[in-house]
Amino acid sequence: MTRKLVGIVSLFVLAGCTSLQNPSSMEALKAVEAVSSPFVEAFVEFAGPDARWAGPASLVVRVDTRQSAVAHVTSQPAVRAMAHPPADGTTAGRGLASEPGMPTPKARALFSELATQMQADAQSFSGCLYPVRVRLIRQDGSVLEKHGCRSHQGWPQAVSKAVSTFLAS
Amino acid sequence: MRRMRGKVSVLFLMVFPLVLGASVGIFKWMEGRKGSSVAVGTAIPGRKVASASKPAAARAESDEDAEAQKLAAARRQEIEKNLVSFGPADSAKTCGSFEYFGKGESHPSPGHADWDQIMKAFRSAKADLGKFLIRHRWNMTDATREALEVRVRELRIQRPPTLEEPDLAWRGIGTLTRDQEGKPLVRLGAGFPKLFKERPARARFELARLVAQVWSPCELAAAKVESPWNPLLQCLKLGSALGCGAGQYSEAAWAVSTVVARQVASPGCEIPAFQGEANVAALGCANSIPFPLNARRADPSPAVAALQTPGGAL
Repeated sequence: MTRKLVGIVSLFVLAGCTSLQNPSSMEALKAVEAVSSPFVEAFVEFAGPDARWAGPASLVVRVDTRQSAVAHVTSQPAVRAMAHPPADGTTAGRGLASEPGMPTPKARALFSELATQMQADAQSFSGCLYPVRVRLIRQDGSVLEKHGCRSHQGWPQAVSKAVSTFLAS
Repeated sequence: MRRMRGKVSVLFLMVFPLVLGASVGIFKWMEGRKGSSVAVGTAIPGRKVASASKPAAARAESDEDAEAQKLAAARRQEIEKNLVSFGPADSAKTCGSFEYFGKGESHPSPGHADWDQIMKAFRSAKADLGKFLIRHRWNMTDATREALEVRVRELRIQRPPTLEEPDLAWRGIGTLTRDQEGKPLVRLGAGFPKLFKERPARARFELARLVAQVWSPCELAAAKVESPWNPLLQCLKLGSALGCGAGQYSEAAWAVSTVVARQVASPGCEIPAFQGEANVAALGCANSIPFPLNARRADPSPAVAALQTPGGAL
């Protein structure tokens, strides 16, 4: 009985090792190695329609984690500055280097999470009214870019959540 | 004595799981009540029904609620007063991108009275589009008209803030999106209630445009519904800009929804696409929408229509 059990377990272990030798598994491992360089910068654009339709304005958010220990978040238009104007009446809003913001490791973890969702979701879009464009840049300069539609479930909603988190930081 | 102890132990073992289960049940129920703050459609969360026989404790709680609501309304007013707008001034004759930015996660949900007004306007926009369909019922096939009617009827609106698209808490725009079941849904940015107060005509136009977006050419093509918009798009020289392909943005959807919304709810300014000498032809297209079936027949009453059919008396 024990011998049979040992035999069955050995067979499973052998099968597992063999599957690792498959070309597809090896390629996946290589891909993981190739993308191990961390994402350090993100551009997100919620694109509006052509100006002649007087629709919603485009919103572009850029998050840069290259320079300091805190993620540098800027947006066009300056949503954060307008939402939380400083008490002294100056035009600068939140997100100054001296203010506490989102720590770089946390921001990069968010980039990574977003990249995973973008890659996992293969949904394409057609006839979109509210396009979303995301570009994530790795430290080695390689880029992960994806276009989608706000109305779709999946990664566009993850983008919305990430943008809100960055703007709130 | 030993027997007595044994009985108490057995009783404890029987009662303890019941007490534990009841406590967990009550806790979950209370959590559920806390989490149900986002409403879809016409429901208004948090509204309490007054009861004549409520105990004093409940009355005190109600007074506290009223006080809390007053404070929340005051806070909302203060926040809305300080919201910053983005876009052309009120006096501008040309419509531009215009919105009041929200304050992000800290932005409060609109008050009941404000939301009631927005809901009324949303229902009114749906009714206006229904009338638009009645007006043009001879300009499209019955199947197309019915499909358009169903799309408007099914459309719902979600009260801000929305957990699914939290970036809207920073915006003042509305978007047409889909819920978990894939049904069309309008979501509004946190700044939209202020737009509704400050520029009601523009806000009503935006609501009408959001409703009209369920009629976009690509939506109809995806549902295999014959589009009534092809002549309009050709007239606007957008015949080749449908944008229904994979990965494409649809200019045509904005054109159709803007033309329809402009007919049912004037924004109080002119849309740039229809302004100026260069756009006279486009203005003509927008004012009298060309349809596939342009032979305007008289509108007979059902009784007369029955008589007009082959074999009828007339």
